[in-house]
Amino acid sequence: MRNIIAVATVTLLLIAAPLRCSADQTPAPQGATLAASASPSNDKDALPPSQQVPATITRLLSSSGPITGKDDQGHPAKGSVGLNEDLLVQVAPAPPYLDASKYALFFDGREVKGLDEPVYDRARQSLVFRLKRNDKNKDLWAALLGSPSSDTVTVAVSLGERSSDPKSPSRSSAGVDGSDKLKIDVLPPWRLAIALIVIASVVALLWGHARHNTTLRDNLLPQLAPERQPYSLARWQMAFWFTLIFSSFVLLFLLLWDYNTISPQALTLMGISGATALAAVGVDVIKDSPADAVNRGLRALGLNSYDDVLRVRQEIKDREAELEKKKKDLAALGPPPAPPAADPKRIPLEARITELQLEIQDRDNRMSTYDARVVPFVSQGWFRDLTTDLNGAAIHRLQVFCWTWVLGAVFLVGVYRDLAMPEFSATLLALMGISSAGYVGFKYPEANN
Amino acid sequence: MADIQHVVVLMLENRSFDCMLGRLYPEDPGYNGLTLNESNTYANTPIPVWNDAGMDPTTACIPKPDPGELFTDMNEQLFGGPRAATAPPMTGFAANYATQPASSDGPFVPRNVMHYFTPEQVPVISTLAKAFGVCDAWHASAPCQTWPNRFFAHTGTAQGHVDNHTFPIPFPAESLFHRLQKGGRSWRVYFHDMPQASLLGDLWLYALFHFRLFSQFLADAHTGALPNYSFIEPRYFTDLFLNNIPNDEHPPHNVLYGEQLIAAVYNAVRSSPCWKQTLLIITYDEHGGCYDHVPPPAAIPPDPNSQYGYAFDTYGVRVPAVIVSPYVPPGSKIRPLRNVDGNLYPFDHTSIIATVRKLFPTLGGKLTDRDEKAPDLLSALSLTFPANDGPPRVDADRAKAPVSELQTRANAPPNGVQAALSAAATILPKQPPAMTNDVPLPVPIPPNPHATVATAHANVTARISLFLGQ
Repeated sequence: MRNIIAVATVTLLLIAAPLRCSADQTPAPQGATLAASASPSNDKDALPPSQQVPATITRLLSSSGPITGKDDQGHPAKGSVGLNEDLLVQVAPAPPYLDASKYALFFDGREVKGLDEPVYDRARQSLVFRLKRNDKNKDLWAALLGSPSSDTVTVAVSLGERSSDPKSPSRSSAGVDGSDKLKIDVLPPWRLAIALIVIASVVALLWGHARHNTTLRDNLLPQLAPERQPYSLARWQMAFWFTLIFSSFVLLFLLLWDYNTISPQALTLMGISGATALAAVGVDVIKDSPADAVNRGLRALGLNSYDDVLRVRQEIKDREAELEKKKKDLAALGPPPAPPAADPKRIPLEARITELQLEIQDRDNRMSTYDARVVPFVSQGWFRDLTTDLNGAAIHRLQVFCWTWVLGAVFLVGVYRDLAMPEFSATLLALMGISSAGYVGFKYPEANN
Repeated sequence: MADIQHVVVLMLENRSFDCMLGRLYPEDPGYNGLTLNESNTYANTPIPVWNDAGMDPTTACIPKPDPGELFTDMNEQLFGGPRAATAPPMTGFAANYATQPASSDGPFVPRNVMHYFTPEQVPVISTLAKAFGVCDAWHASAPCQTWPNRFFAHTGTAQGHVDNHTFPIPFPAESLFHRLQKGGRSWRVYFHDMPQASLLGDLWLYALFHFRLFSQFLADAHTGALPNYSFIEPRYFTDLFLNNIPNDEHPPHNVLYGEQLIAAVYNAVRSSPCWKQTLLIITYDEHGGCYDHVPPPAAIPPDPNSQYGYAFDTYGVRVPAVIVSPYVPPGSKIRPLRNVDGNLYPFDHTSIIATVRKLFPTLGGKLTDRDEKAPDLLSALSLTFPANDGPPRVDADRAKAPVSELQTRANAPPNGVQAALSAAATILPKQPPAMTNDVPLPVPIPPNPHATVATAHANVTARISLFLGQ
């Protein structure tokens, strides 16, 4: 069971590692003013001549106020914006009218494509951009937010001319003013807390609770206590992928506010693990295995379930107690009379004592049969259960076990690095499928041994 | 005399000679088998012997349900009524069967006990009988149940007990095993679930070293480590845990599983380095209610004991006996030689004792008056050299018991031998007795408290494991 907890902990830590790194970072310097474009291009000629073209970005604001430069009281502004929040780019000179649709937003010199057209907020002399993540800009967001090492990342902001030709890139146009840059939230603490609570709850429910029930264990012998049932490789694999994919989904959703993050490959992995579990159950059902024989044998002894085992044990205790009492009662009658004389008070006591002894012996024998027969099917610990069968180490099990761990690690790294569930190649998926199919195929004769 | 150093005895359960081998040599008038004119009468209707063609599980389990096998049943079978002083007419098998108490195995159809198997239906025992020798005059030692007859095979007496449940345990008579032990000869009892021989009192001190599972017999034969005397007991109980069905051929158990056991024993012996010095005796303890046409003759009482007026002065019904050895000419019909007292005694189970005593003279004299007079099998070993190698191997039908059959048998009430073994197992010591101990005094076996074969089997295996320290 310690192995289970270890796996759950490692999984949780792996998932949480980037978040913790982000949150541990020292806040960026305050009083940032604005941004500097990395783009050398300042082609103002592209704007309509009737408009006054902004030359400088003076400040950046969020919907709650300035986040660079000075606030309204003249103090250095501080703050950050996150995905699905508005970023206000204050420009100068501020024209009374500005065709905002012609402007594009640039982070570190790369256009943030796929955003809604900005609007011009005359009161705050700002272009308002709604920061959204979608298919057109997910690579940029992955580059900005992926592999995070703090709770915010800093980027240089610039404006540029939005290209009307989808094939032609927009050009960065705003000038450089100041050395501070915009801070973008990676994962705010409250979101991180929610993510951790949700993930920890599921992990605890699935893996922690599994110690005492058959969620991750076979249930081939209902006469065994749940905590003595052996762990199931197929169920473990299914739970493994569920945990990884679920945790990744929760994190990505809270990070990106995007619920369409489950990749087809992740679905395939879940499908493979689910099909493996289903096929394994199918093999167990259709094949007359040694466990089936033991199950039949125990049922013939009146032991249909673990409750029956407990009941018989209790019956032994009850009869032993009664036997002791009857023996004392008999002893209290004194020594038996010499044959052929008989003490009528002793006869029923002696008869009951004999009866109790036979009943106890019968139940003892059933229990000793039970104890002897269930031994091969009792859990030997998480690792041995998953990698061995009744005949010892099993290569088909070890293969599935190893590949699942390797692909799981690759999966986690992918999520951390790219903020997306990795798109495994068809070859890798085929590898996992073959491995699982091999397991199911070998399970058939395994069940027959 | 033939150089025999290894005697192997396989004793199965409850089949008469006519049932198993009655039609082995149908054209040979000198062979005392069935002519097909034999019959019994029940309700004024003649019921001839018959064969159910084919060999499906239904046929292989005839007679089903289990015929009566108590002493009173056997008297009815032999005499058609109460025991009489005259030679039994063998006319009451069908009637006794028809009047048995109701069974969960179905109705008692009288003709079931008149059934016989053809050689094609039981090819293993038939092949061996033809390839070596068959005794058509081997009787059970008494018209009694399993225990009296098995104890006769081991000790030459039943000490006056005719039914299983009347025996005190441990059985106090001196056994052939004890003689072997004292005579410096090796011996082992090979068993499947519970060795009935473990109820012999003088074996309790040696139990730890001489009782082995049947798989050890195969290993011992393979390595040439067979003891001087091997006694093999079949599987009496259904073992649901290991999908094992009884192979003792006790009705209504499927005879094909017994055929598999016979084949396994023969193949092991035949391929053993010990083969050239081995005598294999395949026989059955008693007829179990199955019809046989030969009246049991008078017998020498083994001792003064008697029960219900029976002094063990007649034999039981004929049972199959196949004698296998490279010294036995193929196709032998083995008959006993006239005793030195001028009388002709048939073979019975004490012939095993007589044969072993002859082969190993250090074992000493008779165990009882019965085995003293019993004809031995040395005359059957008539080849000068061990020249008859017989078939290199015999193959039985590989039928495996389906789960439904296993469950049916496991949930059925125990038969006579199962109930008695289960009850007696409760008397076995709970740990291997020390050789320095005295054997406890015999006590009556308690009633069998187990309603099913499965619970009886659990009791037996638990107790025998403790007793043998395994």
